Amino acid sequence: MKRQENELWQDLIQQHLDGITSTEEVKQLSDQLESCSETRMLYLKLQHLHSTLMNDEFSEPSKTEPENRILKLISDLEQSNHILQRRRLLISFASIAAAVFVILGSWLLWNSQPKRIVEITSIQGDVQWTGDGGNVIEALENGRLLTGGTIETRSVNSFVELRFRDSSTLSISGGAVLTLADDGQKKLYLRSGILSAEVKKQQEQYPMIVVTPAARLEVLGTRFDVMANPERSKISVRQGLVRAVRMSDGKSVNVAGGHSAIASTEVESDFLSRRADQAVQEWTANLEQDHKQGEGEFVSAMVALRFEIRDALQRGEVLRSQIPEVYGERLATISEMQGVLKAQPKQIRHSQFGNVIQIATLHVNRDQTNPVVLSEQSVFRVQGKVVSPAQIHVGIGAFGTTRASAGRFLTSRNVNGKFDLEIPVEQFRPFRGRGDTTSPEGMEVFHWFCLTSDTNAELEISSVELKTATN
Amino acid sequence: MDTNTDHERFTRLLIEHEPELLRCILVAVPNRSDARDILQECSVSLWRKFSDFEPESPFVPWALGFVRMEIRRFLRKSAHRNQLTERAAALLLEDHKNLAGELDHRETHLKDCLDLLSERQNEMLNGYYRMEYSVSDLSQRTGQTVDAVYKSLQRIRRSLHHCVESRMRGAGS
Repeated sequence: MKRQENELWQDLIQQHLDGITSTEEVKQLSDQLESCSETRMLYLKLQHLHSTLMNDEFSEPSKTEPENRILKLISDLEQSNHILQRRRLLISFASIAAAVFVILGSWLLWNSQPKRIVEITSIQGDVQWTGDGGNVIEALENGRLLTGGTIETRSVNSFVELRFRDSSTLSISGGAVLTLADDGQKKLYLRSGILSAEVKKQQEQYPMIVVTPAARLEVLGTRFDVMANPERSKISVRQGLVRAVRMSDGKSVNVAGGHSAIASTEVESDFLSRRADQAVQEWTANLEQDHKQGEGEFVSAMVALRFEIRDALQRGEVLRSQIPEVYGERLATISEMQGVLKAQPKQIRHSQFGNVIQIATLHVNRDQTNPVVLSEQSVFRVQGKVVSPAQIHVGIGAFGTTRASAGRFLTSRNVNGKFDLEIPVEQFRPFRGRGDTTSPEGMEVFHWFCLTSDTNAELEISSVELKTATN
Repeated sequence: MDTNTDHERFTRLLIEHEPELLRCILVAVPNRSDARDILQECSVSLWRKFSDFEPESPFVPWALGFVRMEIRRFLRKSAHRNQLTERAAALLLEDHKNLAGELDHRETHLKDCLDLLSERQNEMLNGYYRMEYSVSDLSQRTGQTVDAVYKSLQRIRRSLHHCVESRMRGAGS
């Protein structure tokens, strides 16, 4: 192999080992590996370098006694949890810095002459506004006029609907952060959360611009929903047309009514508009993948088992010498387990659940563009565990496919110990609007969550599935 | 056979050889989290078939058969997620088996080569591989752009690869 060629393959192999190759590049690499033994040798040498540089878990064959090895793994896990917490703190600081930057940018660019651009037409729960001169306003009410700035729905049950002067409306709910301005052209930056909009006809040269971490949307007049997180954005158009540009590579796609598209910050080859009639009605959560960027902590089955053994050891239920036997015995029973999602504490205000809740959240069909649509036969099966009797609230976020906007729906159950619930979709009720009996049937579900205000319950979710009831 | 004794024997063997099995999985599936999932699936299959295991025969070759099966299942299941083809993975695993002796030597040389890196380079490798920081995390921590961090990592790994290669050639001559 020529030196230059060798270096090209070396780069591609490194990228594959780092997990940043596109589908096309992996195919190219696979073809080469299948046909060239020299490239395979190069791959194995580079891969060996990678795995040797990784954690000891991968590199040092264990010569120690199993019980010591398990205890070491537990101690490594605890250490990695501390690292994870520190990393989360750093990311939080970075997010705050990014939010401040966005807010300052909005003032400088759009808000030098503050004017009222939107009116609050509906509000619920903990909503915060940061506007003029850095003023933070938490006591917001219907009818209040707001300048450009950043509005945040800070808890799972919070919601706000805003109306522009031309009667275009938008709403955000549950953990969304939106910066908005209107200097003759409406400009929105949705950093995270769900935005539902009904946009009146805009002048062609001044479309409404919606920017998310993964996409830029141009809107002339339409009804659409956007769900954004730092990694990806999903755009669902109910009526009209939205032009979406993917930030990672500038690829664009027109998303028409009844279609949706997903833009990711990762390198992917597909950025397509798909028809809603490719909808599916069943979904099984991959707890590890689907909770990313959400609340809760995923613990793999093997890790959960190790923690279980540590706890049993601390409680004196297991002797140190019994560890290998107990470990092997339990290992035989984890065949169908995919790990658990542990609910994590979160502070919220203006909520019927109290000031602190334990919550776990999942993105529905995170990696698929096919929408998951609820039918009247839809049933959520939820399995999990609490350590003491508790009331849990199971909720979903859904896009309206024919209704006006996205919404959140909730139902409650009393549980004790291990639970296995089957909840028909008709039992979910809108979060806002007491007495509202609207059902989410026919809507596209994009978000699932489970919470409890009982902070001692140690709520864990082990499986979530949407299925169709058979009569 | 006594089940409790079986449990204990199986656990001892699995714990002792878990790193070797993981390293084999990583050849075909480089993502650590995916590799751990495959090992979990594999541990269950191994336990189910443990009664077939001949106590006098070596554990690793027996277990690797299950590892290859779980890898194949994983690649088939996640073909859309930028994974190697099953054939490419199978050829790599075959070659990996034949290369085992050489890889031990490479590991010894790599440790020497790591000593030649600067403190900053070692910190970057430590952050990326041991602390499992992403390139974006490292970018935030070091104040460099994501692209600059990635290029630094590429340079460090390339120099380590060249260092190990030249030491292997030196040892062979």
